[in-house]
Amino acid sequence: MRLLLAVALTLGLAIPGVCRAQGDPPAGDEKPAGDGKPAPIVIPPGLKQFVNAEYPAAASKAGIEGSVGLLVVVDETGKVSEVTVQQPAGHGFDEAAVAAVTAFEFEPASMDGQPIPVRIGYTYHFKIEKKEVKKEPGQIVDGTVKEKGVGLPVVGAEVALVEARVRVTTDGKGRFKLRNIEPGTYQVVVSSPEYKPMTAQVVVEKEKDVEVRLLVEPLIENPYETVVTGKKEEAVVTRYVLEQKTLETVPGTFGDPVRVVETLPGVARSPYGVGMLVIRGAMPGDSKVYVEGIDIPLLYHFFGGPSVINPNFIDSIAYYPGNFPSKYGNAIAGIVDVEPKTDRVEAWSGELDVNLINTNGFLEGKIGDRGSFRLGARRSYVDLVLLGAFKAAGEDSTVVAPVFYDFQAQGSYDVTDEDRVGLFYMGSYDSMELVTTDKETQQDIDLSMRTNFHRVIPSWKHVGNKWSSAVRAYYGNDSFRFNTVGLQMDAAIHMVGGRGEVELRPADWFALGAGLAGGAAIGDFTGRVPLPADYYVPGSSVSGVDQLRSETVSELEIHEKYGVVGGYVEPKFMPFDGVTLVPGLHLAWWHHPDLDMYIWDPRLVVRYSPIESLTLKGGVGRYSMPPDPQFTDARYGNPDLDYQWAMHYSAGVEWEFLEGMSVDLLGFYVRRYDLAVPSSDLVVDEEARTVKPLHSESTGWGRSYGMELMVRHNPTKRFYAWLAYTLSRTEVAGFGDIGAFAEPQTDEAGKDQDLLLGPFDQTHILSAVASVILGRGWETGLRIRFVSGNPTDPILGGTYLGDSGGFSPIMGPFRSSRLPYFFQLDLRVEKKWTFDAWILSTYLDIQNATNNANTEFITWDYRFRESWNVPGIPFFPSFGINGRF
Amino acid sequence: MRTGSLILALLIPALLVLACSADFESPSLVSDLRILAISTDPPEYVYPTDEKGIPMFEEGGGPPPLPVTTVTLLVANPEGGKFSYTLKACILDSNLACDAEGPSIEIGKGEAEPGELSIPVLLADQSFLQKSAEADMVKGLFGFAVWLAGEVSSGDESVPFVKSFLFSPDYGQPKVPNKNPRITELKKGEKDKEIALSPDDETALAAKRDERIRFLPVIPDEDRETYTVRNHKLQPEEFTEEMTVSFFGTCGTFEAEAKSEVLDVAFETEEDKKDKDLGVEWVAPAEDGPCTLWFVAADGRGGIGWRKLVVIVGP
Repeated sequence: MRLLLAVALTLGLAIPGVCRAQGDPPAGDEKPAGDGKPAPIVIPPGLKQFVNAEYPAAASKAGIEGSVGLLVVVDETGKVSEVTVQQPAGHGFDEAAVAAVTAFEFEPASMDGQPIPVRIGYTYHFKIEKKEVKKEPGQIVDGTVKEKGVGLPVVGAEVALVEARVRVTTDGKGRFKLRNIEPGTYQVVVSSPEYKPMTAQVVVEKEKDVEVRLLVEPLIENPYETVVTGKKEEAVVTRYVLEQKTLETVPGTFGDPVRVVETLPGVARSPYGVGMLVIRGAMPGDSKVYVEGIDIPLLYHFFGGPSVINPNFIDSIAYYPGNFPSKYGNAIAGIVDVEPKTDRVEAWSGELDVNLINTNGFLEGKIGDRGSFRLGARRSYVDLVLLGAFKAAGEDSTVVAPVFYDFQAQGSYDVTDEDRVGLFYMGSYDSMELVTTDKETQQDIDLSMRTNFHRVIPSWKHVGNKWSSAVRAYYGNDSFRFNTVGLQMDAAIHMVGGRGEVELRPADWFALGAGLAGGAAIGDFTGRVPLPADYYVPGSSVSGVDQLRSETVSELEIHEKYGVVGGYVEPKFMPFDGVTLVPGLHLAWWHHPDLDMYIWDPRLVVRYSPIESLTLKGGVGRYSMPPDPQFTDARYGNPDLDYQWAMHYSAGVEWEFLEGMSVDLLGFYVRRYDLAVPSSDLVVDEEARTVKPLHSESTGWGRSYGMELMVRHNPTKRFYAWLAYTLSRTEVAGFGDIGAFAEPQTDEAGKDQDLLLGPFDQTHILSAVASVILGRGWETGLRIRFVSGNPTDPILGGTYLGDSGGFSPIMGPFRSSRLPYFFQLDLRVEKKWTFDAWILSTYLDIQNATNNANTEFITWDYRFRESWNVPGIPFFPSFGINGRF
Repeated sequence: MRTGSLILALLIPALLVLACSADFESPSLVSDLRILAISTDPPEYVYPTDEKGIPMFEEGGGPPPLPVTTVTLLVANPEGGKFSYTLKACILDSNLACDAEGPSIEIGKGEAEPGELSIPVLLADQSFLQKSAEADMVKGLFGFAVWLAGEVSSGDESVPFVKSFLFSPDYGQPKVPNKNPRITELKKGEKDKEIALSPDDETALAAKRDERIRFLPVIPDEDRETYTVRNHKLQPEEFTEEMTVSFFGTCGTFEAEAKSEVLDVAFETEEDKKDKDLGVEWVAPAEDGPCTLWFVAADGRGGIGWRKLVVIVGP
């Protein structure tokens, strides 16, 4: 006997829109309510994902068939929340049917357009196909329906053979089967709500089954899947999540997902788009970027290049401007967590993108039924373009150009339905190279600077009903080289470590997250570098003489080991409807060669939703990080430094004021303590009459406060938009040389007198983003930014220094003036052509479409009488071609 | 290590260098009121101390210091006319001006013709010297600087200035105070083929329009003094002065603002250092007339000297 693994028959469920609940009158037959009001329009659920049941072995062996009558509850998300056996069949059929139907996925039922839970009847038949079944008259038409261009299966599409008067619905893999088709020529019609109707012809021959592959064109060409942005996690104060569609089409970001973060509230604009992550006015190093849970040293390639991770590898990016969860440490400002794709690849696909700056290739495919892989690589060619341009112009020219490339590889395998093992590798290489056609220059000047890093991250992830976990190990290697004729610096850091996290949900009102992490690193720093002179010349800090002599270049050699062990625990309580309390604790022990630091950071988040569309939220927490190792080195730093820490306070509201439109308003206050600052102070031993340079001190402190506003239109298939506005102020103190004998400013009053604006303080940061799919393959978008200028120090003139012959600026109050306001309009337009097996698109991404002369810096002449506003990026178009299959 | 931060720290100055293409006037061109050099003669005063640098006069071992020096300002004013000046010894504020709340000694003020203005300075006020020592970053442990500050002005132009007069302990050993370097002669010609200018040439050297002339200021080797400083652990370290010469002119163009014997540690090898010369090429203007050129030498520790040359440009 041949076994059929599954037979699906529904009581009218196969065709969307026709289904009805068992025992309920047909849709549209509802009688009006007794009060005369029109009856609500009910659309029943449509089956989207069918699951074959396992035929019970004993019944199959015995040749027993059966039918199981079920009552199925489909909830408002389309998932099956309850299955009850109404008419059992025994022999193991009941359990098999329940297991299969529980895994079904539906388009949820709706009433007046709103998804609702429903209870429906469903009968699952188990039939054994007998060998000696009589050959059916007619043939089988076997086929698949897929989306043109990307080849994604189309689920739930209706396929009708017109002349044969038969129709069927595609299953979860886009497949269908039509039986008992007499030989002849037929018209096939495929229809689905999201696709253009498609008509084809099929010829059925005698005694010959037919296989067809039908391609349908989406009503809106969109190779991406779900589009969601700005979804808030319920356990944090604020988390912005960007998913793939939004990540690659924001104008002015050149298709770089990570750059989209710069348009969100709380992120300051960085000059020339170099990509410094300045969150709520903090220094760039105060925030951290994670990929697959492991931090990386560089976020962007040199000179405003793209981010170091290929966009095709990114599933989502979560951005926390503050009050981030307890699982993150080693940061006192914000967190950007890049989550690579780890889902199983369903179909082979690839992409090749060529633009003015770099070429990017990507390929993903299947390994058997349970495995997947992804490969990506990217290489810039600004240096080659410039060299070619110089040669073509026939001129001898010299310029320093950035060169970068990066590569990623990812593989995963589903060991079970709940367990997935994976391996992720990423590497990035950046260098600054001398590009010249002048042979003399090539011989005379030796200049190179390069940095690269690698990460290898094996992982195991478990996702179950009651608990989930993720365990990752990592090996990393960072290296940096700077080389000229006279100076050289090499740094290499090797690191290993791992982290494990678990999330439990033992009850509806309680969940628990916890994790452990550890890592060790070995750093080697060698070179020939100018070090501060080990002698002191009175007045040299004023006169500028004797500061850098040939003899102050020294051989540097440092070999150090560093380590960290940490953990976190974060319970989540939901004691009442709409109330969420999340206390958390992050602990860490940081080991530097001459310093050990013990960190404990308690945190709390509270969320209250009195109604579904409104949430009040607040949080308070402590966040700590050690100073960078070079600050604590015994020879070149200060091993007596404290760890740096900050207190975050925030409160706000989230409100969905219209369907699909929401506002998020948040007030925040951040106070930073014990920040490590470089120091040229000398500590005097009066008895021995010697001095020792301090190198660095923990005297820096600061605060940031303000408001962040995000108004957004939730992404639809055609459109997304948001407006982000930040109003804030950042002040710092304790960053100047206060002198060896000055009294430390320990009291609050004394400290307030030292307050200055932070170097990245931008009072107003406004970003507006919108993108719309116009149809016929056209998509366009814009981004507008309006940002306050960074603080500057007014210069009132210059003082002639008789010792050196130079001039020293006469300063106005420190950071008491600002650069002019920054305004920039970026545009993007894209045209797609969808072919059977691939999609071609061309795009034009224009930065600074109005060529606004934004000022990035001010430079002065030698005696500080004349100044020049150094402009930022001018009108800069980038044209690209993209092919995707 | 946060290599990202280090990279940005290196890159942003590079950005600035690349971006600085504004058309600023060269420092070598003297077109308005300028201070071209300030010397103090002597530039350094050595006072007796024990081996730890504690002044002997504090222990009652001798008379307190009575330092004397002469400040000479080299002032140019191509637009002609006298300039006004003021000069004080004082404690400086963060803007390198005399601290209004600190002690100061009036040294001189008046008017003078452009050129060299010499003013004698006698610092007899012991409490002022004491306060100058206390204002030092390490309280005078390695000596201290007395600051001479003032302003020259003419019409709407004014130039504030500061110059140090260094007080150095002898640590109980004989110590020769620093001397100002001298440009004993000027030569002209191709490298290694230079010939000295005669005194007459220096007062009226003839040049053609757009003529390129290479000048070599000569500083005698004995002016490259060897001197000793004490490091942070009070141990002596010996250095030799490395000269820098700056170039100024009322017309024409110098190929460089200055030449220096100090190695550019980022871009020069030791071989380059051996080849270092202080010669510079000057291009005469296209118009006839006199050009005054100045060559100012600095020894890197406050010593200053200069030489003047007049070039008559003709067809």
